[in-house]
Amino acid sequence: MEHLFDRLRDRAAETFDLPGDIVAGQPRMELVGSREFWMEGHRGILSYGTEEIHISGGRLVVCVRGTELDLRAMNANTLCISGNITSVGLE
Amino acid sequence: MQKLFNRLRGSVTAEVEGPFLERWFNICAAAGLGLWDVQLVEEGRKARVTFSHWRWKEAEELAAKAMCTLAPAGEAGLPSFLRRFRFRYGMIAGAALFVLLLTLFSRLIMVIEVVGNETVSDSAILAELQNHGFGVGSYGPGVDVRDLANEMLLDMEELSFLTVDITGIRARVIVRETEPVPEIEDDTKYADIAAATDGFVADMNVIAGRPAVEEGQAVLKGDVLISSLLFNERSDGSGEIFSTQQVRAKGQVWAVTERTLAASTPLSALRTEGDGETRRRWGLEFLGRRFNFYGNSSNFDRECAKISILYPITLPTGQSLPFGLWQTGWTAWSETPVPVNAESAEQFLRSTLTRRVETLLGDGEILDAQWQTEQREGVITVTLHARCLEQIGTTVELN
Repeated sequence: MEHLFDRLRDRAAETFDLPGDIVAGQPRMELVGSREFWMEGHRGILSYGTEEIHISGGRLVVCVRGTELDLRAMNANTLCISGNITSVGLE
Repeated sequence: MQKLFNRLRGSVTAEVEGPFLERWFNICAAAGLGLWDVQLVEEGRKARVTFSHWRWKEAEELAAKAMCTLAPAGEAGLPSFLRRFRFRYGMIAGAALFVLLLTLFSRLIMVIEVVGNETVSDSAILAELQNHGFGVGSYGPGVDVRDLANEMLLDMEELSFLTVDITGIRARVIVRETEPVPEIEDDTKYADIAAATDGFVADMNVIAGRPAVEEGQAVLKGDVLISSLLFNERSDGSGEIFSTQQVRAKGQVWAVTERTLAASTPLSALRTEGDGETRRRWGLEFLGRRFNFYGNSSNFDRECAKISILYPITLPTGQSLPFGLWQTGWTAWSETPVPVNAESAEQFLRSTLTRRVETLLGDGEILDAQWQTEQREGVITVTLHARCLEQIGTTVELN
């Protein structure tokens, strides 16, 4: 049932051209060059390492890869990862 | 701004260790406990994190929930800085004393400035203020300016107005001097003009009264020069006096006088010479009081010269504060008789006599001067015989 509502919200956001991070509660990600990765609306860190960090975004998992990765800041809504980021993937 | 806020709030760096570090990160974030500078120390097991100082207990509880342990690794910011001084009682006492002294000294009078005086000196006014209990070191809020001004005006007749404006450590004493009352001659009293000294009358300027002498006439001290008694003659040319009238005689009588003045000085003098032995001691000047760092044994048992020098603490504006160091030096000395140059001594005596005659003459002048020098028994004597032109008339009131 919950998935159904999520899907409906996604559709509504697409149909009415509304921002998904606000309407559907989807995570919003921002990559600043290759040194900084920002994510709003995360649901927590799943695994943490210097070369790979997995972050929960609700229905998807964000995988940040690179070297010398650091969790520079983190609070209930936002987190920031710095280091040499080589890829950001969704799983 | 954020950095400043973080500094004031304080932060703590901790090492968190456990099998589920990510869980601890997540529950901290969910609890609103922000983390930053997360660095892995040991892959998957140990990390170093920084968070707000005041949330340490909460972080510890959350770590226990996530089966992790939390160990402090450092702290920064104002709270930790202040905590470092927790057991430094001396410093706390010093800071408290500093605040106390600052509060106290900011209410004490340090600088007194006197304005508005022309003839009465600053030091005379300050000395009188000191006699009334007001001076450097007085407690400013405790000064009753009105009472002080009233007492000062009673004691110093030269002043007609006085007030004290106290601003912080500065006191500005504003004064107005009493206007001198002009001398008023009482015309209702009859008076003659008499000769103050012997002489030959050279010129007369009679304003009121009857001339009793003529120009060229010799007069002795006390002789009446201008009489207060006027004779009224009949206008028919008979010369008969029909009435007399008495007035207050006024006028000036200039006469050629002779003055003889002498002065002498010994032809040997005692020269004071230090014998090279000097002792210096120090003292402290504090709010107008002097505290010596030595006893009474610092001076010599023979003749010595004592010189005290104050080195005050001075503001950049040039005003001296009532704090400073006193340096007192004692130099032993002895007296040696030395001859005095006769010519120099004569010159000195001549100038002294000339000044003295000029003082006696007032507006008069020296017409002719003859000098006579004599040396006898080690003493040089200079005598001045001066022929002068001076005003010799002086008012003598009649009973």
